[in-house]
Amino acid sequence: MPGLATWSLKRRIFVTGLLVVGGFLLLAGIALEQAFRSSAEQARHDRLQSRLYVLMGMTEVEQNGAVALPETLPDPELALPQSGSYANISGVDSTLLWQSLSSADSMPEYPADLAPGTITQFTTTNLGIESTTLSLSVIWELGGQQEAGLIFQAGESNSRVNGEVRTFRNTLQKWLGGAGIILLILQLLVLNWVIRPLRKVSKELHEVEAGEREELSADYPPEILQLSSHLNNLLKTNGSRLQRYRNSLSDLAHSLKTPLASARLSIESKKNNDSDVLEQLDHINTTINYQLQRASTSGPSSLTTSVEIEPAVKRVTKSLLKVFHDKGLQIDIDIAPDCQFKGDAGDLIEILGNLCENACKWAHTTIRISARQIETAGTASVHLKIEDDGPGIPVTARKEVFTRGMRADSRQPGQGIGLATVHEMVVEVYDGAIEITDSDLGGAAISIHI
Amino acid sequence: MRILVIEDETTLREQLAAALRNAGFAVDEAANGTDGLFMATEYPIDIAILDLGLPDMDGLELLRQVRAAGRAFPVLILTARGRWEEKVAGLETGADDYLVKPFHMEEVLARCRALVRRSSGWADATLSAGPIKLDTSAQQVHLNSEPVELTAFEYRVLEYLMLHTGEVISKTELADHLYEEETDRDSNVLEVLMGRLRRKLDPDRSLNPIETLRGRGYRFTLQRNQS
Repeated sequence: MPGLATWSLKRRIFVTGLLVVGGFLLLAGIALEQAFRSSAEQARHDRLQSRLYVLMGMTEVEQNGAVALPETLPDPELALPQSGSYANISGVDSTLLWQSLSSADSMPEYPADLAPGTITQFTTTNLGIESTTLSLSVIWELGGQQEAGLIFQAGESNSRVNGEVRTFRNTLQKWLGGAGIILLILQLLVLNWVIRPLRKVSKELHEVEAGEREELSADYPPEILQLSSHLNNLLKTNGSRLQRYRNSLSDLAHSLKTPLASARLSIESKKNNDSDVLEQLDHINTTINYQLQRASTSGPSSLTTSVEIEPAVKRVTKSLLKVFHDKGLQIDIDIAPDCQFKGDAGDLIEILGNLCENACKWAHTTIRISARQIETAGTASVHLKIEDDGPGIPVTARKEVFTRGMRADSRQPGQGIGLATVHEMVVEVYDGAIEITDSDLGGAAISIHI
Repeated sequence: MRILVIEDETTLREQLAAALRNAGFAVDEAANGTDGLFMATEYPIDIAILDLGLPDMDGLELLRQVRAAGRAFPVLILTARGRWEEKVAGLETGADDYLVKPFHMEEVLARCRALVRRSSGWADATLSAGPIKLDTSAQQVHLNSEPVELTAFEYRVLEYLMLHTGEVISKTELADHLYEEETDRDSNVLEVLMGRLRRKLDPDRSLNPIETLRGRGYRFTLQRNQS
């Protein structure tokens, strides 16, 4: 059943517990009732037997075979009609010699061929009433050599024992039901206590995802501690492997670019320098930049953290204001405080750096950076907009600035590579959107949805 | 202007040094972080070019120590990686500008001149005081819009004095910032040169742009023109 596989642990444990506790209580109830019934039946047997003996003790048999008993019997139930208890005495030929007042209605038949001296118990149904009767066949000595065969019978309606059993069952049901409810409540409490570490793992993983913590905490029961420490290792190796790749790539870039810079300068310094070679060097450089950029972009991952946008914007703009100090630029920042970039912090700085540098280059006096968090269909995205009052980007050129200098076979290095880099990161890696429009400041407005 | 170049790659460092000397800078070269840190904290440097990818010391750490030692001269960082994280970290640590390798030499020179000028409080590429205009980009001087022919060294002396307008500059300081470490210094040469410079800038002896304070040094006296 595929449905069972998706059952929550809590549900599994609870349902199993319910079945086990329910089954146990049911079986225990049946067993206890059976035990009680047999002890009640044993008690009835003893009761009827002692009644037989009392009856025999009080019986006087006369010479003619008639039976005489005192008017009042020690057992008052025998004098009460319909009391459910009865007794009688008959001859071996089934002639009724005496019967108790209570057995006025009828007397159950007794089985024939009762061996003398033995007590036989049998159950009869008379007028819809079940009764249990003990019969004792005796040889009564009458004095002289005379003797008479007598059959003593004492019976009781089964309703008495059944009533006792019913009362017992009711009491038992109350107690077992109560115990069952208490057990289930205890089970729920224990279940919550057992499940709590799992809930905590889930909560902490969520916090890692949200960037509120770096790794899972260490206070877990041993079984889950294994899981959590494996997860922590995974988080770490994920991060460190990424870092290693990035480091080796930037080392590669560094080792290639310094000789490239050197080659460029030495060709530049020569008179009649070879512009073809310079162009090829620039081409190599562009390719390195592009591939390095692609490789070192982390991209979103389920385990990466969210980064606050405002501090990153402030870092970048503060740095750029230092570089573009001479221009005396005014940068207005209007970022909603809850704006988060779900991805790598380095990627965010890279996007902001490229866009803000472009804005600083082109702006005359003013740059505006705004960001809003947008909730659509349950998913949060960020709308980031960078505007300047520079010359703007003509409509016809808006498409090509995203690809300029990016393709490995492109022959146009340098200019516009910043926008192309950002386009690549936003669209290809983060599955976002980027758009160039006119700003009311007068220049270009670059909008990004991530 | 005295510039320190900290770059481990020999060819690139020598090319940078040659181009900078050619452009009128006195150049100190350091091939590793240890030497670089020593020169940056001990020499009278006006500006430094720092490669972030040094073999023996993290470039940012070197920069941090230079700033911690109280040295405030502008620093241009060179980075091969070109990641913005690195550029921003460099600027936050105390760098003033960055260049990504490979670069054009004119770009390096332009950035260096701009940084020096900016560190002296001049916003414009042309230093203008009274009738004297010194164009740091073209390295030309005009007096009342007439070009003045200066030797390279005369230009460097005038540029240094104008950048520090109003300050008294001792002969030692002037020599420190205009000569490289191992150069033979003769204070008489400076006095002769100062005389020639005065004659060129103030032919009729009415302006007196550079005054001599006996035993203390020289001072450029003209007020900066507010542009």
